[in-house]
Amino acid sequence: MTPKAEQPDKEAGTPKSEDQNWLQRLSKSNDFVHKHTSIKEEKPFWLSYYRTLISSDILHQDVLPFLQENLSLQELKSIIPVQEIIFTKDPKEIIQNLMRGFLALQRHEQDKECLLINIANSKFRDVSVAMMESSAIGPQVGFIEELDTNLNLIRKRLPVPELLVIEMKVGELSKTNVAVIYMDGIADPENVNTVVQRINDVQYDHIQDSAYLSSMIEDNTNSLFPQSISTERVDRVAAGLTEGKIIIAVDGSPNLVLVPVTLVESFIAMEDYSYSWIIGNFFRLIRFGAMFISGLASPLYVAIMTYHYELIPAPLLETLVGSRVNVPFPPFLEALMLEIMIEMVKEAGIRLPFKIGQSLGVVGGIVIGQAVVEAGLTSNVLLILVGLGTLASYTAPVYKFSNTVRFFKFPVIILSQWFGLLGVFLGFQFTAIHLIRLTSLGRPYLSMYPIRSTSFQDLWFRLPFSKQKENPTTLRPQKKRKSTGNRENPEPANDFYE
Amino acid sequence: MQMNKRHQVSPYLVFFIVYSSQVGVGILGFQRTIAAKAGYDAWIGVILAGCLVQLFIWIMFKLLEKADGDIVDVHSKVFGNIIGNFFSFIIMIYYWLASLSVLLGFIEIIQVWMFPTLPSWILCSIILVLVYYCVSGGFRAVVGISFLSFIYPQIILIVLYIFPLKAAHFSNLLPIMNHSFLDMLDAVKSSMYTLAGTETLLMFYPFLRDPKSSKKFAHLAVLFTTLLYTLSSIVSFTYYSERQLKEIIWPELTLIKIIRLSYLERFEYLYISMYLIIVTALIALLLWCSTRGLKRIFKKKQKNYLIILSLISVVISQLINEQWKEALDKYVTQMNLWIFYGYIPILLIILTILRRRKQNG
Repeated sequence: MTPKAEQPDKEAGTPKSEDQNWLQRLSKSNDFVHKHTSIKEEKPFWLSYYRTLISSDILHQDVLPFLQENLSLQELKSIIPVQEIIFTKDPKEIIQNLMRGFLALQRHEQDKECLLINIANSKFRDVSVAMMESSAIGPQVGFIEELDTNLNLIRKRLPVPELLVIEMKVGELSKTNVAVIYMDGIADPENVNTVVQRINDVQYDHIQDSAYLSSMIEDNTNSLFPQSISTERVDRVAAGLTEGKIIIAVDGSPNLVLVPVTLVESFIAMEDYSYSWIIGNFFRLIRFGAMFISGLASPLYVAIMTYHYELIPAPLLETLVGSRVNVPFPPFLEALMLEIMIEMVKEAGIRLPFKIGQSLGVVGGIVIGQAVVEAGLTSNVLLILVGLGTLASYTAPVYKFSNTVRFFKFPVIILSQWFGLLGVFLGFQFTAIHLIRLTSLGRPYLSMYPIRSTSFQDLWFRLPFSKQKENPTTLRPQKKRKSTGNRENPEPANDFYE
Repeated sequence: MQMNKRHQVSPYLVFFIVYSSQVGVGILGFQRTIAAKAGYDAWIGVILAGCLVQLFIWIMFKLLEKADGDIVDVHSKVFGNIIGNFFSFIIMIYYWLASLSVLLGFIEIIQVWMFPTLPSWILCSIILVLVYYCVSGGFRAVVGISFLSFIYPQIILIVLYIFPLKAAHFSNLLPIMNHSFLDMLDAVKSSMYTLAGTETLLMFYPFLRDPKSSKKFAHLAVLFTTLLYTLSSIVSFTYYSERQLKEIIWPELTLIKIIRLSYLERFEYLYISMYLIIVTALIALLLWCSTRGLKRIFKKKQKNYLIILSLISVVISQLINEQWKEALDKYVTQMNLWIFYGYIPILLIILTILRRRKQNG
């Protein structure tokens, strides 16, 4: 099937660059197809495509039937029922589009004119429930690995022309499609420019996930704290857009990136908005508390049991000391060992195939939980604290952030072994300074400083919808006020409804 | 001098800067020194000292407004570059000595109360590493840490006064004003060390976005700290007898010891550890002022001065003995009084006269 008639081509015009002789260049690959439609010379159409990229259904149903008659390429362009058809001579464009799953149609092999028809196979998994950021109630839909579907999901939620998309290609080899999405008239143009500028500056061979890109454009790449939120929830993205955030979507990644963000946003679950504002705030408060427990429970244990057992009143101290009478290790080693053990269980849990996962529960729960205490390797109290800390770390609605919190306690455990309570506060202070210095797209990351009134409308607390009147000032939105005009609670018509 | 607007801070943040510049280790032990002569009347001395600081703030704002810059600008305008820089240099040395005095005071407390065997240089270097990280983040980070040092510990620490107040004898305070005027003056003088710190305004003035509206926040901050110190001294006076007060070095810390909750005792460990936040904020502010001044005088990178000053501080912290430490505190107090309450008002007068002459001639 591979044509032998390439010699005339070479004679006709010696190619100036490799691009011009695209047919020869692409034929090197075995999945490249180049064939003639008919035996008869009168109806000569040459087809070329990558067998692995196209959908044969579209080829057979929508393209081949029209090739039976002797028509010109221009005529074909107007009758073939495919949306994207390009008529071109440019070899560069031909190669580019063939790589995207187009079909190249020629009258003669030597012809430079070529009709490119999009018959790409764009089958991906269906839109499904968000896996990592699940919620009990509220919308469940999550993004998938295909950019266009993701854009479709966003556009469905925000059907306004103000929603703008800037498309770019990143990666020397992967040529990944990247879309920067923002609301015109709300998002700060300076932020948009910064994002586009930084993405344009990225130089790397391949972009496999939005996390590659987000960590390349972050302000401080050496920080433990993610300066962007990556989410697979459509509602979080849509809500962020209306506030003036900028979304970065990467083809092939189900996680979209929100910038700029603040620290506290990592504690906001979209579920908070599905409940009454009081209950939503209660859960948010619990998540704040959980972060402190997760980061400080075992360091405080180490500090107190090593240096400051005077802090604990005698009756409580008896319980604490009694539980570790048989433990031969110092509290530091005991805590470090158990923490690393739990991290291993978690790590193994992610890597294991789903079916083996069940047996891991047995190993983790019974062997490590019960047996370790009975063997006298750790104390009961520490086991409870470490378990509590691990549980607490998983309450963070943004998965990346829960990793930060879990990593955070290791340096603090070491500091607390060294300086006791002072060490815990050293770690605390160091983190505070770090957070103050941190910025996300040049905007302050710690939402506490400088303090803004809008952070009490929908950040630290979530007020009822009728009271959320302004977009967050830290984003410097062009549209300062939300279009809030919600009904307040009805006033009683008479005094006490009497 | 015109600053980039990005580096400037909002007016209300001045409250937190001034607050954190004033609150240091002094509050833990000043009750003893002020009561040395004035006895239970010393709390009136604290209020008087507060009024003096308010006046000083007013003078500083006047001075800096006239020069539209920091103290280095003022000096070079009044005395020319060479002599002016020499005077500025002395003030920068004062800032550094003040930071050293706070640092050594805190290290002493840690060694006495928590870790008697921990070498000074380790503590000193670890605190200075924190401070270096903060100061290298620029003025914005320094202000941020002042802000957090107010939000986190202070709110908790004020609540703690409830516990000793349960055992208070308010009759201790009576009769009021039974000490001589000179005794009272001594109490004012001793309070000045604790209330010192507002002089950092001389360096960070150009960083205020709106100096006019910042004024009231500075005054408010001084009012707040004055009230805090008055409250603290009253709590101590009503809790201790006059003789106890003479014996106890850190009355505030000893007070905390009586707190007893069902799950927590010996609160002073937590208190001292928490004080790290306040102390690093203060040291960061003072070292920022000092190094920024040196940068402006000698036109070299601020980083170099910060490293050099920190290294000298670490060496001194290890070598210094009790006598020298007391001498340092004394000199810092003296310098504070003479430079800022004697020299700065004179500087204002000189500058005003110079301006008048320029306008007339």
